[in-house]
Amino acid sequence: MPIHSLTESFPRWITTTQNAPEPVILYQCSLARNLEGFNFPGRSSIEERRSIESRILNTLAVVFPDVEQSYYSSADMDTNMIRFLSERRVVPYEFLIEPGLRGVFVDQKQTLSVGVNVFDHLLFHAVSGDDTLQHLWESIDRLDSQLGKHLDYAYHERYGYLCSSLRLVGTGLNLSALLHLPAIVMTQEIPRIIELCRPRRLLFRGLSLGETKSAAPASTTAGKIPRTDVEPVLQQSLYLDAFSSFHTNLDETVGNLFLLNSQDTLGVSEGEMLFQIEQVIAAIIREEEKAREKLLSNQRERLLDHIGRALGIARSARLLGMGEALALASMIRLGTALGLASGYNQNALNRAILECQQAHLQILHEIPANPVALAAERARMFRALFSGTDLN
Amino acid sequence: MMCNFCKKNLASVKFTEVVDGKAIRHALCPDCYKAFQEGTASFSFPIPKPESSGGGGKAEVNIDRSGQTKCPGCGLMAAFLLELGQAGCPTCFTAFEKEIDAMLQEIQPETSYRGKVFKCDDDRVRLSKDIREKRVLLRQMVKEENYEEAARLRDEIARMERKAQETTVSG
Repeated sequence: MPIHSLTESFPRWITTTQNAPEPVILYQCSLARNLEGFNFPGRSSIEERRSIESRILNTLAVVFPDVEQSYYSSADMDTNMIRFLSERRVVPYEFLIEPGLRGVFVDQKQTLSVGVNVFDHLLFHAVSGDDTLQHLWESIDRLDSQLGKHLDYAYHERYGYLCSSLRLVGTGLNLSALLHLPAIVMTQEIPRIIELCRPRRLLFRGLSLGETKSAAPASTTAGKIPRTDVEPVLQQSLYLDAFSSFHTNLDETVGNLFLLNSQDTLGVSEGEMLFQIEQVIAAIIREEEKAREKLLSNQRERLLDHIGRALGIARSARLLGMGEALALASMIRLGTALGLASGYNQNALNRAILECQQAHLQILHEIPANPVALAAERARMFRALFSGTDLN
Repeated sequence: MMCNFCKKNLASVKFTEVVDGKAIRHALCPDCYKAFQEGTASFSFPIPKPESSGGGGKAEVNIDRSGQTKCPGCGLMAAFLLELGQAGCPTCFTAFEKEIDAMLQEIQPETSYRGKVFKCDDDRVRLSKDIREKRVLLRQMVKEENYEEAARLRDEIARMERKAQETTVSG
């Protein structure tokens, strides 16, 4: 199926009103499964990959009769198209780098996908900005059980579900939340968050741009919005990977964004894991709200200055790097959440952040693979988006 | 660290290869690693190509000429599993149980599973599982030169495969 059908609509997590608390950008839930009797994708031949793909698609057709229309094979996509899917959170970053025949089924709302032959035979993935992790897990669990009636999963009495990575063996489940925490960064309370995560064995990491860990742009600490150089083309995307392998140090993160990840898959049930991460997310949100109140009461003028500067740059810049765009969006988003700024639509900002990534700009706006051309289009989008926005 | 094959890109995959009993550490970029896996590049070290036995092999560790243990299902070497923390097929979990247990103890809070239990109730799946088990037995009988039992198993597998074919067509 050509990918163009996906480019014509936006994922539901962008277009619906966000019910989750403001610091939560999105929740993600992924589940890995393998079929008995086959090598894992990293060691399987092209014939094995084809056989696995056809088994999975035949079984998926039981649940989704139109599976053929919504399945995107790597054989039909160039690298930029795959980057597009990865920027959209439809597939994890690993889908981009894993070699060999692979594909992904994407549901109509672009909230649920099933990767085939990525690092495991099956990778269920659900993403949402207006739901709860519990609901995401339930939707994946239901689909997993339906497929499990017809597919012979690789399952071991003692280890549970067998996966290629030993980090997923057991439940095969990975839960995560992308969090926007500018006030915690400004009040320098990150160590408190680390303390919250440590006893629950959750990973709390910063995010970097592009495909390598070293791609972190100049500091984007909240409040300080330095003029950053425009990044090379391949570092103008914000990917989320399945194994947190290129997440960066907390003080180098972009746009005050952080990823909270579960990491245990043995010795803990799916329900316990959900409970643990939901508890920590709620605690982090409380900390961010406290930090925001503290900023409002103790540093109101400084805060207004930072938001005003961000708005000024967003409304007039002619070139915007991806890191700088995320830093500006973070401050303006904070200003709106605190009632200090108004005049734009939050969904439009989410959409702009999605759309101003490299592959989206190239495919949707037909911009050439030139860093300056991409930065110019990004700046144009921001000027249009924030033209009516001002401090209250 | 730069890729130690092309010397141009950043290395993101690191692993140890055992050549003539000596462990050699490699750091490759994704492109060279892909070429390495597909065996298209001319590396100075041996290239472990995937085997096509499909992960259904008997969990008896093979030992190659350099004394390295290999999974009978996929041919993965123990050193590779230990270096990358990645298994090659379901059989690796029985073939390298000790090594995997030790690694899991380091990265997980416990090594016992407490999650959702898998229950497959599809006849075709049960049948294919039975066929795989019979094939393992057949290999064992051939190895033990018990040709009478091997012939009986071969016929039984053929019958089961015909049945599986019919079930697939009618299903």
